[in-house]
Formats: sequence, C-alpha cells, structure tokens
Amino acid sequence: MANILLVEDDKDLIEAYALVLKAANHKIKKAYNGNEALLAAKEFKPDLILLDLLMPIKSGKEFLKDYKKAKNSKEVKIIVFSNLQDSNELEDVYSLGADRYIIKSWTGPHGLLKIVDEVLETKDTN
Amino acid sequence: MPVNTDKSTISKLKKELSIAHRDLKKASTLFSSIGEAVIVTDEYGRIERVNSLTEKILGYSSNEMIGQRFFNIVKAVNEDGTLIPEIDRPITKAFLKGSAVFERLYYLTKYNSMVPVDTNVSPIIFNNKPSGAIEVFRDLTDEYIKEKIQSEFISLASHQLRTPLSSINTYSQMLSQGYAGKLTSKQLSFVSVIEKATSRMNDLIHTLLNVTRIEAGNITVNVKSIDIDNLCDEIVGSLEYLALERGISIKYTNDSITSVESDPVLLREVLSNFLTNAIKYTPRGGRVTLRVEANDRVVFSVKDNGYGIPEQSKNYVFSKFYRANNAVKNDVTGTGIGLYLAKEIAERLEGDIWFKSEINKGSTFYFSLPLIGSAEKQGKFTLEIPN
Repeated sequence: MANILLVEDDKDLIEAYALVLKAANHKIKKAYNGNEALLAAKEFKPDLILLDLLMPIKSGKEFLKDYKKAKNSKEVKIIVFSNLQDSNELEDVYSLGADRYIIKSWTGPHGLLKIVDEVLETKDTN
Repeated sequence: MPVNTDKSTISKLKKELSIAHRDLKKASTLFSSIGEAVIVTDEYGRIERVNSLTEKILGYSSNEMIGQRFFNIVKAVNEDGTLIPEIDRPITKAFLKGSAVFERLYYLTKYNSMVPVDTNVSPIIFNNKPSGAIEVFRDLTDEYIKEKIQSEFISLASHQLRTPLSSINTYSQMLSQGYAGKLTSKQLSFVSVIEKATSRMNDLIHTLLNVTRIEAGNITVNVKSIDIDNLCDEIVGSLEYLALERGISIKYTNDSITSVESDPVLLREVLSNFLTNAIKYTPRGGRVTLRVEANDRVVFSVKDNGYGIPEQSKNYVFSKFYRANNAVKNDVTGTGIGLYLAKEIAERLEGDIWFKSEINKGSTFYFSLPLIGSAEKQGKFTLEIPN
C-alpha cells in the first residue's frame, strides 16, 4: 500500500484512476492542477505522484520544476501520464526528474496497476 | 612605345570598350538578381561585393558592408545564441581547406535578430593562391516556421485525438475487469466490442501520427546493437493473439545471425507491418513465417500462404493509402498506410524493401540491411511506439 497523489484535470479520468488504485489498497489524494498538487504534496507526503502534463493554472512540467526543489522530493516517484508524446516532451520530463512516461490512451487499469507496482518496487529497492 | 591612332584601331577599341561595359553591366545585373544572398570577400575577409538579397536579409546596406571585415559586421551564432568564433566560421574553414564548405548556422542582423541560414562558401583561387571567398546563403526562416507549425500540429493532434479515447479505454476496461460489478456474458461481449474499437482507433492515430512525422521531416535513427532473436521473439509474441484469433500459425526462424546495428524501434515497425499484413491477408489455417538470413546483407523476410497480390496492384503496394481489391474484400479495416510507412523507414535505415507474390499462393516481403547496419541520423522527430 502506498500514498499516491493523483494530479489530473480531467474529472472523469481522475475518478477512474482513484477507483482503480483504491481497489488495490493504495491511499489516494486528488489534485486538479499543479498548484493544488504542490499544496497537497506537503500535507499528504506521497510515495508516488501520477502526473498529467497539460493542466490549467500550473502545468505538470511547471509543477515538476517547483516540486523537485522541495526537501525529500527526490524519494518520491513520479509517473507522468499524458497523451502528449514527442521526443522533446519525453526528454524534458525525464530531465525534470520523472521516473516513467506513459501514454494515457494506451494504458488501461491493469496496465496502470502494473506500472505503479513496478515503479514503487524501484523505490523500495533504492 | 608608339601608339597606333589610326581610325580603324580607335573604332575597334571603342567597340571592345562598349562590349566590356555591356558585359560588366550585365554581370552586375546578374549578380544583383541572383535568387540567393551572395557575399564576396578578399583574402583578408573584407567584404568586396554583396547583392540586394544579402542587404534584405541582414538589414545592412551595401555601403555599410563593403570594406568591412565580414566577421566584424555580420556575427554568426549557434542555435542557443552563442557566438561562433572566427576560426569556426565557414569562410575560415573554406580558406583553410581550400575547398567548398556547407554549413547551417544563424546570422545576427543589423537589428540583432537571429536568421537561420544555409551557407555555401567557396574560396576564390587565383594563380594557385586563395584571393578571396564567395559565400552564397539562403534564409531558412520560412522553413523553420513551417517545421514549427508541423511539429505543434503533431503534438496537439496526438493530445486532442487521444484525450477522449483515454476515457473510453479506461472506463470500458474498468467495466470488463469488474470495477462496476460482475457483467453478464452479453454485457461483456458488448464491452469487448468497445475495447476492440478503441484499440483500433489508438492504432490508427499511432500510424497516422507516424506518417505525419515522417512527412514533416526526417526521423531520428537511434542506432543500437539489436539482439535479433530477442526483438523478433518479442514482435511475434505481441502478434500471437491476433494470429490465434484469425486461426493462423506464426513462427520465427533464424539460424545465421545474432545481432545487427540499427534502430530497434524503426526495425520493429517494419517487421510488425509485414507480420500484421501477412496475418490479415491469409485465410484461416494459414502459416506465417518470419525468417532472418545473412549473406552479403541481413535479410528479414515474412512469408505467408495467403491471398497474394494481384498482378495489376504490384506497382502500387508501397503507395500511400493504396489497397489491392482482394485486400479490401478480405479485410475492410486496413488503411493502406503500413507498407508506405515501412518503405519510408527502410530508406531511412539504408535498407532495401521488396516482395514476391503469387495470387492465391501467398506473398513474401523482404527487408534487408547492410551487414554493418544503419547509420545514426539526427532528425526532427522520433517515431512513436506503443508502450
């Protein structure tokens, strides 16, 4: 069981991810943009953040830039979950500290749980 | 020395002078009308001549430039704005090499804006000594803007098209995986239709975006040492479900080569296309074989005993959107893009692509690479792969 912060502006999708991850016994906190995510991360102390990129107010990349300055943020795993995909985008998010990059429309609930488990495993082994 | 002043000589000289004047005027008009920007310098790098396009692109008048050292008046910079030192300027290199130099860089205009240019500099050799240089350069601003628009379109299209698909995909899979309670077998079969359609739409977007990427400019070739058995087993494994569903047996054989230097993502795209077509266009009970051989090249082939390609369609097999009549009849879901994409990728990998086919007996598609593999290439885009 892990603390997972979901950062996604699409209300239907964030509900779906929350339902799937809760059913796998994870503790969930939701944020709908980068600003809310920064605030939520302070209180919630996530083990993993599932992060969308294109969001209003503060984008996923802007969130990463700010969040990675925070103390202890290095230990928190980041999965970027987006429908954007080009090489520049990938390079940018990896250089900002993301651990995985997944295309949303290709990933169903099983795929999501598998990737979350894989990434959390790397946290445990580190 | 006595000067010959007889009438016929004077008249002859006048005529020659008039011809020389006319030629000079013609040369000058020709120089100023050249469709590319031109700068001529002496052996010290001082500007001797410029044409009107140079004035237009750089913002300086010819009076401001002529007599000035080229390096001093026109600064060359890299993409990030850092100054290119004199020693690295194409004109210096052309002088040192004694031959033409082609380079892409940015010039700073009089108004301090960066203009992307393609330069072509040749030394002017007079009496076996370099006596100056001529630089022809082309303003790439319009091309850069076009590339930026194309790149933004690809990025936006992939996002906008996939956003609704993400919800359809996630919720339909949640239904079938029991997150909303157990479904009846009829409900499950209905959801399965939605899932298949979603997956097909995802594949279509993936393929169309890759075609757009290829057509928007060169794609990057990331060369790695590929374990051929690993890659082929993986590709065959990913298509086993489709083969099973269509009642096709699929096998892989390789008895001659273990690795090749190429781009695994691009190679995978070519072979997946061959295999998917072979499975789709072979009747139930058929056989599909992926084979790797090495002689003077590494040859990948995919053989089926399917419907084959009609004679009249053979010339168009690699054309975009082309589908043979019997292909349309036997599988309505194809787009006619896969083999077009495979051919474009093959060219980028320095590979050859061809096929043999006999109607109602089957087809074999071949893709060959040089034994030394493909060369690394920097492009504007990376091909997208499903994760």
